[in-house]
Amino acid sequence: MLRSNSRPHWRLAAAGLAICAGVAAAGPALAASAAPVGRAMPAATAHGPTTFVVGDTAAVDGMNPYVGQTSLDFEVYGLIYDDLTDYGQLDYSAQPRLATSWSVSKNQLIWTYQIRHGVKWTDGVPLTAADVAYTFQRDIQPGSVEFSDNSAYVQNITSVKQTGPYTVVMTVSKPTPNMDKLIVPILPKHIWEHVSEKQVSTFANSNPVGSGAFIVTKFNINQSVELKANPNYWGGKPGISKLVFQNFTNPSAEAIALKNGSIDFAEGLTPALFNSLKGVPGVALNNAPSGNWDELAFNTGAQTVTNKPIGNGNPALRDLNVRLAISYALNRPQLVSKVLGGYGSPASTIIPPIYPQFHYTPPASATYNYDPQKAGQILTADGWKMGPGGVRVKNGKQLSLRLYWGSDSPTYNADAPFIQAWLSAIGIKVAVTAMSTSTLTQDIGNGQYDMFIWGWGVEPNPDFQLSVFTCAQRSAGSPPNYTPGWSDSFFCNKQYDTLYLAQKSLGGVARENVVKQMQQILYANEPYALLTYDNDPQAYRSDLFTGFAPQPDARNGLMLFQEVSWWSYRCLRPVGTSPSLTDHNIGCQHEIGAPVQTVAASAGSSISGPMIGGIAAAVVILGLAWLLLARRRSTTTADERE
Amino acid sequence: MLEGALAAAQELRGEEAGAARGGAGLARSLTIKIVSAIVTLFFVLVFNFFLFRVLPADPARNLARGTALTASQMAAVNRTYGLGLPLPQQFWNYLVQTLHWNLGISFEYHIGVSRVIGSALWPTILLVGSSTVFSTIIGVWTGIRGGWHRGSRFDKTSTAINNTLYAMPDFWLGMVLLIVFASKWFIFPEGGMHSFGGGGTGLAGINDLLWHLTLPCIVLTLVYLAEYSLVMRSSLIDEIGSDYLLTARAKGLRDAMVRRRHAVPNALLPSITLIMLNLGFVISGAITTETVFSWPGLGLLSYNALNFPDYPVLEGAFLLFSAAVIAANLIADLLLTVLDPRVRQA
Amino acid sequence: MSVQTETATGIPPISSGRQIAWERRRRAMAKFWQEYRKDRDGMTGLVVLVLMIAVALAAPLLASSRGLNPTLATYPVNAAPGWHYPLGTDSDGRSVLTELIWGSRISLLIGFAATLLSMVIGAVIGIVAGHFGTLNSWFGRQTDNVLMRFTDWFLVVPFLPLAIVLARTLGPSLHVIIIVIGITSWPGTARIIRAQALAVETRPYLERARALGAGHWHQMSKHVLPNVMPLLLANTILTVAGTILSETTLSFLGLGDPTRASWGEMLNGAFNNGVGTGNSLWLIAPGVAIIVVVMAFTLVGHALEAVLNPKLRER
Repeated sequence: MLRSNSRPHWRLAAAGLAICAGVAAAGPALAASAAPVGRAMPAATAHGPTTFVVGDTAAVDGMNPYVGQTSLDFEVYGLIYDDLTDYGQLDYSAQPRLATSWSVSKNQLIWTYQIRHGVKWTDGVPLTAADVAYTFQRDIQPGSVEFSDNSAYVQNITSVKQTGPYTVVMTVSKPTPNMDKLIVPILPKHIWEHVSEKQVSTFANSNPVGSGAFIVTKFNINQSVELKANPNYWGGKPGISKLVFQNFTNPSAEAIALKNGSIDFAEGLTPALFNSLKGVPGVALNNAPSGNWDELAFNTGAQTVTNKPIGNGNPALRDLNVRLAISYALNRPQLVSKVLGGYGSPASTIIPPIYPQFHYTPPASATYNYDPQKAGQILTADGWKMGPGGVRVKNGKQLSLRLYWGSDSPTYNADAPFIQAWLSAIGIKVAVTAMSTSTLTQDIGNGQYDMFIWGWGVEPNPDFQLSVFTCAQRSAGSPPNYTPGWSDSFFCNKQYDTLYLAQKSLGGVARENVVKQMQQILYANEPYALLTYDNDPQAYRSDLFTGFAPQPDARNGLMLFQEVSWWSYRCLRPVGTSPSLTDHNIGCQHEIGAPVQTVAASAGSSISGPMIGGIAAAVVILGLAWLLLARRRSTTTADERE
Repeated sequence: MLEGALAAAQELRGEEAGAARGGAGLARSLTIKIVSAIVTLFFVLVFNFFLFRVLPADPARNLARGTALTASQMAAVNRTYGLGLPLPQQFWNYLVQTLHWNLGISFEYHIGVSRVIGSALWPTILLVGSSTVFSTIIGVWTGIRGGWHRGSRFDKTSTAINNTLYAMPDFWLGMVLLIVFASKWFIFPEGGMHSFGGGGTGLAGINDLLWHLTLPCIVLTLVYLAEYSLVMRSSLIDEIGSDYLLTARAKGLRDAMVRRRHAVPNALLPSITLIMLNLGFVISGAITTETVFSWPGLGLLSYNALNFPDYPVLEGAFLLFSAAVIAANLIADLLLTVLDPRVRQA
Repeated sequence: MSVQTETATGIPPISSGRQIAWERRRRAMAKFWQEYRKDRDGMTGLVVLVLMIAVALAAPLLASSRGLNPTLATYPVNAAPGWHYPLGTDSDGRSVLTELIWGSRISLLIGFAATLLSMVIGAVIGIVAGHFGTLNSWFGRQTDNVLMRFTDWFLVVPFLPLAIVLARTLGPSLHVIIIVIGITSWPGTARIIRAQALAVETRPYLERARALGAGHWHQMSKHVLPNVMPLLLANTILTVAGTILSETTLSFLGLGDPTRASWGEMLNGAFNNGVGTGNSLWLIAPGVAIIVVVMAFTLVGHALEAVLNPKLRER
């Protein structure tokens, strides 16, 4: 028997669903047509014109400056704490910060600092020389976590004394010119004297009390850090009232968020995403060189600090000719164009060109330009003859090397096949293996590698970067797992070490010359074959914010995430407001962007995003409920259904 | 996975009936189940402990790298993280501390692991809970409708859609939705749980939260409703062939009555079992969805912890995931014991 | 040696025992194929599957492997479809279609290999547990118990976190992924096989075998295994679908081998470098490919099950 039982009901249900879907879709369509690309968020959900949101793929670990490890940690510490001095915006020269002036004794061993008057901690307690003295005394305790965290700066300090309410005197064991650029956050004594040495590495410091331009209001693990402007900042109130660092798991969402106005600044974009933002109205792109570079590192003969050989590195790499040949075989310009998307430059020496006074440019005749023929000649002359399968052989051994890198970096992932291809073109067999960075660190420390790809970020003070290649930074300890130092090429050269100690006590041009000499030694010995100097492509909403203070160069400097500097944050302000200059905001005089503009009205629709979401959700739920609960009597029985 | 779960569910039913017929009382079988769950949990604890002790972990080296800390000084730092002691003592400390919900100290955040996990727990519960509610309701409903009217256009369409959804990688669906609804048209946000810089408080805050929840919830819902729908449909079809339904129909009972009062409740059992079994896994399976939408839940936390690597947090999260699955299994078992009429009658 | 003579009735003469068995199997397979052909969904799935495998095997003929080498890529990056690259290019300038074709090899390889591993482990445990479980001995019941507890425990450990930890520790390479997926997927198989083995164990010919003095090994390999095999096969096909999805997930999370372009790696790359650029096919194409392949496996698996288990055929 024919009886269309369920079909009318089915049709009704379908119609109901369609109506719901239609309404749900119509709402957003309305909102979408009102909002242009590169739009400002609808007013109801916008984060306010004086809130500046920075998106990054790095996250903040915590508020304890002694144990932070990510780049974002240090960015935040510099905003909530002050150092004694600053690196000048244009030339990295020492600028007053918490110390208004300083001087050194004739014998170069006694430094006197005058501390700024009238500074208050964010809990109202006045800041005095006692806090400075306390901080440094704590930091120079040998064997402490504080010391290891700050050792690059406090290594030579033997004593710290407060000699007046606003005067601190420090004594060093030997002349130390960079005592005027101590990047050591000054901490409040009345807070930290209650944190014992045992507790310090696990002290959360959740509501940090500092003297900096911003105050932390909220820290959501894995999500964001929210800061508010310090109204009593000694340098003048910042131009923005609220600052947010938002963590993204992937840069694609960041790029989308910038377009939508959910964030105002995007850091950590890939070249492709950076390019996708070109031409978006209201978004400015900044492609500035940074202090970061990538290298191909070699195992030049792993030994511990006691000169005991360790590991299983291929002995071929101990031969300078092999390393030079490899360096000649690398097509660095192609890495720049293919992997960095053009956002970088070929690299040579370890202090990058953004520090022109320290950077050493090798003469053209000595530069390792892309020359696979020359590379082949060097290897042949060295006794490596072409063998079967296109792999060179010497004394019966094939020239076969392992190449490692950390798999979580897309840049290194992309570099590896190029390097493999270029080396196999000159007869070197390369076995590639991606691994986790912790495994890689362990393998390096134990000398169980041949070559790897990694990178460094160099500070304005070249001391640390130079120290990486000293003999003392090689692994120490005993098997099975040696304690790694910072040396990951196990380079050890007496002359280099002597020069390193010398530059620690020099200043000015004398120091620059020594540093350049050291780079010359490294370049001649190639413990690393540097690959590329990386730019840091940054994008931001120039239609909403102005007052960025790029460093070091107004034309081509970093806006944020500057090398140990925080100029832009203090000078930043919404478009249409005027800067608040104080004695400290010297950097703001070099800001870019129009100082005064008619305020651009944010083009938001009256129907806001969340409202749409709420309406759509309600409609869908109501539709479901109707379908489920509507009582429809079906008068069919099994007979009729058949 | 679907077939395995279905078989497991039916096996459970068989075991239940068997055990009940064997004369064991309801209370006894319940006790056995609870005890066995606790035993499993203990094994998980042991496994957890050894898994993360086998992996290399030396936070002191990270903190002290490059400076001349002596071995004893590094050992002191390591001890604050519970390392460096003899293994049996570490294990004992681990057991005692875990019972007190002290899961150690995070290598990355330097605060208690329970605090770190606690901050990520609510977002996951919210996401998983809401998507489970929707996927259950929609999945079971479409499964019932499809199964009852087997071969109809609704059934064919719904089965086709379900098969497609089931074959779809969930993060791919998430990415597509993200691009369409956050990039091409700015209807839903690009990620996160609240609008950056604060989404407001009170009603506005809740609205903001819902707005952020929509896309990830849709993705998880679609992914799981396919499975529930297919299983519900299968088990209903199985039921339809039963004798007692034939009797009911022969008596002239209305279709809807037969369906609602007889077929569905019995067919629901495997579905409920499956849903409960799945619940435990969804919590950890939401990792990819949380990654796509930057949703700060447990999945994302464990993924970030893995990259660091932050072993105490990983250990804690692992424990929580396993405990969730054990608890879900136990509840499914208990529900089955209580609901299955064959067991009750015995 | 047998003597072949035509008998009066035209019935083929009795040959060796082995020939009887093969004849029986051949007829069973023919009947099986007849039944299978009736299932339209199953046939569709089978056709798609055969096509996919053909593409994977014929990859060198369809697209030059040089196209995978980023150092040789010359096409514009993130480009919309063009003559030489019908699906556009990725951020290295490689043709998405080439990657898709060669990626099928990796994805299918991992799928099959991981499933094989999982199937072997699951079948062994399932058969042993089922066989010993039906013995009327304390030892037998305890073996079954212990194996099932072990399986249960493995089921409880959530797949993704365990896989992530293992992959991180052992390193991102092809064989690690295979091992990781293989040793986390076997519990489902084990349970099903055990249930089936239990059913098989009660059949009369097994009792007869035992009475004749057959050892455990003989019983399990010559009697239980062949009867469990069809269900195992169906379950295997379905598991492959799952392992392909698992590999995709692990690669997406960055745990796959970055030097091999599987579909999961393509999605990983598209996610990080393709969003908002000129080529959305880089994201869409691998996803669609995965959906098609997984659906094909699922349809074939369900059809197999339906043929083997008449009760399921109604679905």
